[in-house]
Amino acid sequence: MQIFLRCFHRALTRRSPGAIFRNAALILCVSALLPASAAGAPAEEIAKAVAVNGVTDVAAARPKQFLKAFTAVALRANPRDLPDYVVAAIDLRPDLASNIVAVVVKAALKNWEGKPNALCAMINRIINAAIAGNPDAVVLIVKAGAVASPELRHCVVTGAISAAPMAKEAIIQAATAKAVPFAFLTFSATDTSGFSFTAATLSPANISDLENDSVNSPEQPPTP
Amino acid sequence: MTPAVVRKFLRFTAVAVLTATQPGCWEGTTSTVQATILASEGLVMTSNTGGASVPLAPGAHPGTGEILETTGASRVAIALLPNLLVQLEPGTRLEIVRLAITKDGNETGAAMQSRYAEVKLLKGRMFVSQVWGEALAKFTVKTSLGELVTTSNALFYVEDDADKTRVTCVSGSVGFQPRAAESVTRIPPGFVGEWSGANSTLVAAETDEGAQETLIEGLEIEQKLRQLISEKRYALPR
Repeated sequence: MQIFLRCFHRALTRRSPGAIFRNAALILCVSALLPASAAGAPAEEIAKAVAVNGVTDVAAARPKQFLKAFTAVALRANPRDLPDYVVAAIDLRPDLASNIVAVVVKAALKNWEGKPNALCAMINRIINAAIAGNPDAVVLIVKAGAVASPELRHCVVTGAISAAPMAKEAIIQAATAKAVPFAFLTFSATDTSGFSFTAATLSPANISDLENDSVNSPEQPPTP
Repeated sequence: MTPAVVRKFLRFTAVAVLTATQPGCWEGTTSTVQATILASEGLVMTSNTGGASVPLAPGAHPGTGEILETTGASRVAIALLPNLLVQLEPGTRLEIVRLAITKDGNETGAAMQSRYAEVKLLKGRMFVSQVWGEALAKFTVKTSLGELVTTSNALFYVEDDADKTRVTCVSGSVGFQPRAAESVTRIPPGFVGEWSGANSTLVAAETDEGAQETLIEGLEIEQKLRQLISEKRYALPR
């Protein structure tokens, strides 16, 4: 997009009227070739999917309805365009920024499974886009991203810091804070919070923080 | 060049060609394996082809030729192979046609080479979660109208009654080849394909409220199945 804008600026600053006309035509052609997502299509797609649930006003949709519709759109979308969908969704429902991030990170995990480098770069872009869409929700966005992809939380942190360098401390704290309450939660787009509790997830193996801390147990072996 | 030298050269070339065309690697040993029941809810029946139905015993390992049936509101979660998890929804009949794995002679030391699973969905609806992992993984589901094949990691639902097959792809990609057709239709993630007689449709799941629900349901069931198999990983047959 930056290249496109630079090209646009350069074209308009040409002196000759013929050159301006030629370059304007060129820009029109190039803009027609840009991905549909750059032209605001993701917002329309999300709104249409929400409307399927009988809600014409996206802002009035219940969180569950919005997230259900958004999940369907995110799973179908071209994986490379996921950051554009994050921006559009947060623009429509800034109050659901963290849930939106959780949905998109999960969709990215499904699409880029087995390609850790590409996945990390994608998570980086998703978090970056989400924070740009709602800078006030940076901590919630980082928490949601870290919970949705605990193994790749460093990618979440990198993306977040590049988007909001001033909030570096808060970002690191949000991503590395003890995640015990989240460890027992399962991603659920049907739940209003985006996560739901099931006994099936109640396993110490889910507590990824344990690797960084020693276990402090009151139960001690008997002294000889 | 004397004829003797030419003969020698031809002989050498023939040997070289023969050596080069011989397979250089051991192709491994293919063995038939059994599935593992991860969890069941309600009364699930099992029978061998043509045999009487009996309730599925806890911890059973159904294998080739067995037919599983979820009666009433019952459900069953099965690891056909460790990389291939399925859940049969109420009112489903599934026949296991083939479950096999290929490894080299070293059962514990060497990596898996390939996994094969073939089932027949006689009626009803099932959810499938397949992960390819390090080995070739071939999974086919025969339905009344054709054959479904997975070519990558995939999460999907397949539903069949006598005159309709419906496939909802949650993630990854699946292909369906109707019996009469020569080509395979690819169902991309977030899409629903439906075949009925000569008609077929392929639409985005986001255009239908029920299909949106199905995608969410699929993501949730996958998490449940992954959890169940991680609990049983040491109990799985090798």
